[in-house]
Amino acid sequence: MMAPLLELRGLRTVFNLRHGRVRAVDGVDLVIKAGTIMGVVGESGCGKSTMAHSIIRLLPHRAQLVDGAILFGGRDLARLDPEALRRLRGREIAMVFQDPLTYLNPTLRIGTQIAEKIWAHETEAREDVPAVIATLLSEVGLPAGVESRYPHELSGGMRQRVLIAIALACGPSLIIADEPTSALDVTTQAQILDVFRALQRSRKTAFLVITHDVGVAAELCDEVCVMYAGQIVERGTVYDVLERPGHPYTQGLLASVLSIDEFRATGVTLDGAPPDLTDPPTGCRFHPRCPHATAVCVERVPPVVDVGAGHEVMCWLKAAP
Amino acid sequence: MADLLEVEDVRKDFAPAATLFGRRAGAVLAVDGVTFSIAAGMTFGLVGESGSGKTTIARMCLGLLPPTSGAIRFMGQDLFGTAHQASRMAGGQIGAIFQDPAAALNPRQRVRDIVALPLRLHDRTDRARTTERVVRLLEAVSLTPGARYLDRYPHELSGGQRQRVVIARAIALRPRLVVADEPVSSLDMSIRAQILDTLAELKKTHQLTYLYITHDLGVVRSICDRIGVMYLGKLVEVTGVEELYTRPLHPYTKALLAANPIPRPTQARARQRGVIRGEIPSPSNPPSGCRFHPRCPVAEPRCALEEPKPVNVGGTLVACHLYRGGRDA
Repeated sequence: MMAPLLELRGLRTVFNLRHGRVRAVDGVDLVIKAGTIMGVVGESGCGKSTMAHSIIRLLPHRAQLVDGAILFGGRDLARLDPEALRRLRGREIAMVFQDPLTYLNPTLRIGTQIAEKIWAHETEAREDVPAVIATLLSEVGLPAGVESRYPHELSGGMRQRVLIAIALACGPSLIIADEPTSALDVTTQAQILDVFRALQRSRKTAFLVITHDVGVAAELCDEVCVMYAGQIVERGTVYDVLERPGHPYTQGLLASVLSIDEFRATGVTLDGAPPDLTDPPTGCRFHPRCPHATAVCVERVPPVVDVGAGHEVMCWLKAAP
Repeated sequence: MADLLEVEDVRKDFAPAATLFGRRAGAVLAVDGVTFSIAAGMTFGLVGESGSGKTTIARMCLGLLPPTSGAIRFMGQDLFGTAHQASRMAGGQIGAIFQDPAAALNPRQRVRDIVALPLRLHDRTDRARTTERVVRLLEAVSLTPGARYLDRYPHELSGGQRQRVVIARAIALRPRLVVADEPVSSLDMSIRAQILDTLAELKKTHQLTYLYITHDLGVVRSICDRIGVMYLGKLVEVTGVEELYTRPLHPYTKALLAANPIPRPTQARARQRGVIRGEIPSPSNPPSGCRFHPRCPVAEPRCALEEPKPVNVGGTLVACHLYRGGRDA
């Protein structure tokens, strides 16, 4: 049994907007084991990105972490002071975002941008920074010489590799990747997924991968959580969740995936759209769209049921009578 | 009988733009000698990654952009034959659906005015019944009851509903052909499936023919009959939907299929991935010979020298030296 690297307990994050309070993340429990790749799958607005940003407390000013614990390395990040958080971000937990061009400085050479990351976190002067940069670049599959180029001279895939190199620079034990390949072409996406797999093997880095693409989760992750309306409705190994889905939402989501290896019959598999989170549905939040909903689903929040070896489903259908 | 849409040896250069400092960047050859045709009632998918030229072809088929050379014939007539002909035909008989419905809809117009606009512009005979027709169009795209959506503004609709409004507008004049450029790419999985079902339904009820542009081979499988695979301005393979998945011929088509994620982990991890190297080069300076040769796992010396001509291999057109003489590999 591997020790948990990160544990979220009852995490709640809200957005205070003029028209109300959006409960974007509403009671999320999550455990990431050291060296594993955890995927969080869901559609837009389900709270997956807000959950990821809550972990390192990088939230827009309207958003507020209102409850829950974020346990990492013996500390509760939800209660950490700003200076300690600043030291932790990037060094122990790093992030990779969807659009690398937004996160790179267009006026600085790649090498400088990687060096800045090292200087920001190292207290002593270092002679070996150029050598460290060269190693990082080769680890993410970039040719020598990239350190003297500018972001606009690189392709989208190369820029994403640079962002991964920057994330790696201080040797974090966890990298949070928010839609890391969604802006890339499929042949480039396949290359970046290979980089993640190689880093998991060579550095034993753990990843939290946020994605709307079930295919990416299937290719890359060890474990998967499915989020719907701010809550995790199903979790387990990638095989359990994607091949033996227990929650009606997961089943509907998988049935709507358009895959190259299978012809999808027409006939809508998941009706309607996700709910407004200022006023989420009562009971099970999926009940208005669920083909199996009964009276109890409307009235009471479903229990989380273990359907076998840590495969958990939050649904009344699975609850013992 | 001629096909509904015929694209013949079409080429499109984008002239070099003068830069801030007076230097001129190289010309971009976005589409280079592309030929295909679509029979009435078929859905032709044009697949490729960014920079392959697929959107440029869509814009030319909509009459929005004249080709540098070559011809596009719609119902036997040259789309760019006489002045204004292109816009007239495109406005009436060719419908357009774009990727981003938020950008395609005027944020200051109500749904009723958005969908009624083509009716007002092109179909002056029936003005009195416009509202009734708009309601019917909205219901045809599953915005029911249609009357409830008439006075909404685009920002009051979800992404999927906005795309339905775009589709209603595209079919308002009962076009023969609809050009759909990545119509579901900006939408969530569950909404994607719903919109594709609507497009399939409309094809039957409105006798439509689609030119469907996408980068997503998964989408293609659920909607297309025939598929053209593009790479860097060239059509490298034209084949039927079943053949594409069971018997891809061009090495690029094979690479594209291998790179596409499969949502079932056991299958995804069991297959040979064969990730190809590098990324698509710039179309302003394409590689010599076969444009795919620098990334091709089976390239031979002649691939860098000589451009492969398309050959027919059992009904599939493929432009690759492996298949010269029409032999099977």
